[in-house]
Amino acid sequence: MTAAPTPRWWKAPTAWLRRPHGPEDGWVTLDRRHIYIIPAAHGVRLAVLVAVMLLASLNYDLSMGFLLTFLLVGVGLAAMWQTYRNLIDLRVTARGGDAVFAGEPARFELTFDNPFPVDRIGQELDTAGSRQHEVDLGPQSRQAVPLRLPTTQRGWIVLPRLRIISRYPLGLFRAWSYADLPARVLAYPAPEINAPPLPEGDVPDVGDEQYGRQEEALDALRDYRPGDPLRRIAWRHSARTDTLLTRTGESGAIQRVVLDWQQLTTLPEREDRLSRLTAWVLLADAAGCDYALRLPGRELPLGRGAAHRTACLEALALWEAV
Amino acid sequence: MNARRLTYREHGILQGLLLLCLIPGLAEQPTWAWGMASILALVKGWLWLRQRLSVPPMLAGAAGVLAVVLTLLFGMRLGGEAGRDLAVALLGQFALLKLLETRDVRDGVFLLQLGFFLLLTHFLFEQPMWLAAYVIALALALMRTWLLLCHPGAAGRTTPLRTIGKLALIGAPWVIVLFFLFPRLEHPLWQLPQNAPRAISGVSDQMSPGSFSNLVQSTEIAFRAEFDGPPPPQDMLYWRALVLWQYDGTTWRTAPWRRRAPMGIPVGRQAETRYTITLEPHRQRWLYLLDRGQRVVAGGNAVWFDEDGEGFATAPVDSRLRYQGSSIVREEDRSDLNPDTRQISLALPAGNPRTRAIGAEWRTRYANPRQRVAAALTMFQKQPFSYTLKPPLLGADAVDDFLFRTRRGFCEHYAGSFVYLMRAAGVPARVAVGYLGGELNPVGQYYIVRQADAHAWAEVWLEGEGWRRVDPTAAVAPQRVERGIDEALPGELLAVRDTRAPGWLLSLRWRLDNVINTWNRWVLSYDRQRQNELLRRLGFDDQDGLGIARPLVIAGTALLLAGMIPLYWRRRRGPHDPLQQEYLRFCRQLARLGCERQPNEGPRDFADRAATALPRRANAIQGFIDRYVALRYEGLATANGAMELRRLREQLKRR
Repeated sequence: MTAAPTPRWWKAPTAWLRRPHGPEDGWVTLDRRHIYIIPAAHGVRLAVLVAVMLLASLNYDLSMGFLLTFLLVGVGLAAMWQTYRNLIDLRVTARGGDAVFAGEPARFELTFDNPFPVDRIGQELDTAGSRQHEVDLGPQSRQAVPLRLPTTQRGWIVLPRLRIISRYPLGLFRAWSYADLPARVLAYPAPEINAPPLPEGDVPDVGDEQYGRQEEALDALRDYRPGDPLRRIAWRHSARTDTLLTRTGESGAIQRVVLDWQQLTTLPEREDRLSRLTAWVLLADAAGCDYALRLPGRELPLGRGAAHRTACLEALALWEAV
Repeated sequence: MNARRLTYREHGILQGLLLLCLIPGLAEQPTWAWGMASILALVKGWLWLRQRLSVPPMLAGAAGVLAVVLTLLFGMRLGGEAGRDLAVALLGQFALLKLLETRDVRDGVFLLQLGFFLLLTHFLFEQPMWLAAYVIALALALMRTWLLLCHPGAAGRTTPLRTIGKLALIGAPWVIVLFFLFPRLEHPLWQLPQNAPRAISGVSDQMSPGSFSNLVQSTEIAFRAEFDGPPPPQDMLYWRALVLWQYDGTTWRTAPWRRRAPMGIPVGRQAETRYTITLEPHRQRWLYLLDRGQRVVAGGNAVWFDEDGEGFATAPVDSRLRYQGSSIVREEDRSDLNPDTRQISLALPAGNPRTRAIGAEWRTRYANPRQRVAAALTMFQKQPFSYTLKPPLLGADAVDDFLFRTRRGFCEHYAGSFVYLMRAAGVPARVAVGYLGGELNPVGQYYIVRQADAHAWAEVWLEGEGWRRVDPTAAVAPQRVERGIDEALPGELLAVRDTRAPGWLLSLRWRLDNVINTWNRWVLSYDRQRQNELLRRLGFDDQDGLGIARPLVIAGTALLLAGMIPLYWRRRRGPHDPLQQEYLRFCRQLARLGCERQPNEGPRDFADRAATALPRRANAIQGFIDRYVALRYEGLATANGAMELRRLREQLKRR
């Protein structure tokens, strides 16, 4: 549910309403200075009903009518109290989940904590861009609530301001409070779909000695042992000798690629280039290559493995034009 | 949450509740109105049974138009005017139509709110205690359903009815303060025309043979009366309503043109008797006052008093009315009878020659009118007259027939023929109707006067004394006056009153009636006047017009503040998490051993430091903290976690 943009004239007088409410020790406690309450739709309708009933009772001097009307008023006021109490001193914290690619939902985990021996029912959770959840909390209990936010671009996805709403018990009043929790999830650029293959041939032009074209020559061979990666098997030699042979040796045994921003001249858009590079990082990682990443102002040396992959993806996610 | 579709079960509950809201009003509704309501209810019920939960809007709209048109048509034809009953009938049908097209929670809640208003409309007709109990119970049920519609998950977590009960209890101070302090109106803002009053049994403004003997079969309560001081003796409890002047040979009638305000209030020579009467609605204008009324006041309701001692309300009494009267039991009036009054109080229609003859004879034989009165009473006593509920039918000359042939009759026969006889003898006389006696409720010290106590008697004008009450029935059946109707008619009135019931039953009945009386007094008859009384007693004077606003504001503010107390109180007490309490005890215990927790230390850091400081207890300390952290921070809380921690904490004491 996306809130309508606040009109400017309304902003200044209600600024106090939206002042940040950050956590202490990781928890945001909904204290009385941060809980707001106004009549909700059912409450407005009940007020009209009570007014009509009061008028009828007054006009016909119906003592029992007064009693019934004021019973509604009394229950309504008690409900206001109850709605407020349903929120007060509720604690909430949030944790960001693993990084995702832009376009995938970012996962957060919220935890509600009710330290008091009372039931709290129907807490509604409202964040920009997310659907509403209803949370019921027993006395002195905790509940984790998964939250998925859609992502559209790379970078940090910061948990937007949470609005925790209570309309329990009768929906007459709507009490709410805000929580600004510092949880965030990193979104990598979305990998380009059907990206072209890794830029193998262009490598030597870079002028770096170690990316040899004489890799074949430098290779030593030995017998295949179970566990050797398939890509290190020297297929040609194996076919000749009828035994599986594995390449060994430091250099040239592994394909090396440099993923370079500057090479992608065919893609004018910055984000498209980042998408392509992301797709290549994934391809290179899957292929088991050694790969380097060069971005303007940021350079990652040749490397391999999960940590390298993460470092590259983070660099892509957070890269800013210099 | 408002857009959630209602389930089959919820539709069923809404239907049931709405019908329960409508049922008490059916008795007041004309046949066509509840006929249409039943058709709508049956349609909805049938659709519901067939799992058709929402009706196409077109169909509902068409049904709505049809129902409104039919209601208006019937209403116009039968009622003649768009009155209160018609409005209530329309409202009921609107609610049923809304039920037909209800789909989601929003509709459901709206319907429930409508239910409250439907409940209120029943009080337009009557406000007995059972209805109050019924309405309150149903109101709570409506709120319970409301809560469950909004939060279907609440059923598993709490008892919704208890939640509602709690809300009602928290709201109760508001209910009380608002009920007693909310300003009441002195005059209604508007009045919808009411349909022709339904016949309600009670004393009427006409008297013909049979009118009273029918009435006394009824045990319905006419009114209750409390005296400010000691009550007068039972045989003085003549509750007088109307004076009947005109006789046409069968029926005695009032003389409405005589109803004017008295020239001046006669000054009583004897102490006034003051009393308060709570009159059950009788849809007539007249009031009952103890013979002879002097004054009548009824709070905000307009009441007045005429020169014949009759009290009236300006509008028919449609709801229970409470008024104060004051009377002089024996009045002396030395003024002369004015010519108009003399004429009307001596007028006789043609017929009844024997009675006229005997009157004329007495007129010549007794110079003093008092002797003529005595002669008539002696005649009733000496001759074989009898007091019965089942008198024989009378012929054309009714008075002659009764006095000289049948001699069996009820109070109306005796009062009527006595007045006729007196007029024939030249004594100005009139018939008075009302009630005689009443049952003293010893629990609440008030009298219950029932229709069975209806009575008619006579009044004669005596020079120098004014109008004197003469009860010819007393000459025939003195026990009627002294001990009431039950004693006077043994065997004839088995059904009237269970005065011969066992004592405990009687006492139970008195207690119950006392509850009802207190209810009438404090809840039903609480009006502007009583409100002013209460405020004065509380020390607020209504001089500046703010009299009511001030205590209301004070009480309202006090209640609002009181409502905040629990929130603060709970805050100060802090969370009573048993796990945390165990932890705090653990910290205190370690502090006694010389290792105090620093405010900035978390459980883990503290435990590590404590374990180093107290190496011999290191295992116990780590054991406790491990469990505590697991229970409290890793969401492993179990029901008896606190017990577990306590046992671990006790390990600290062992070396």
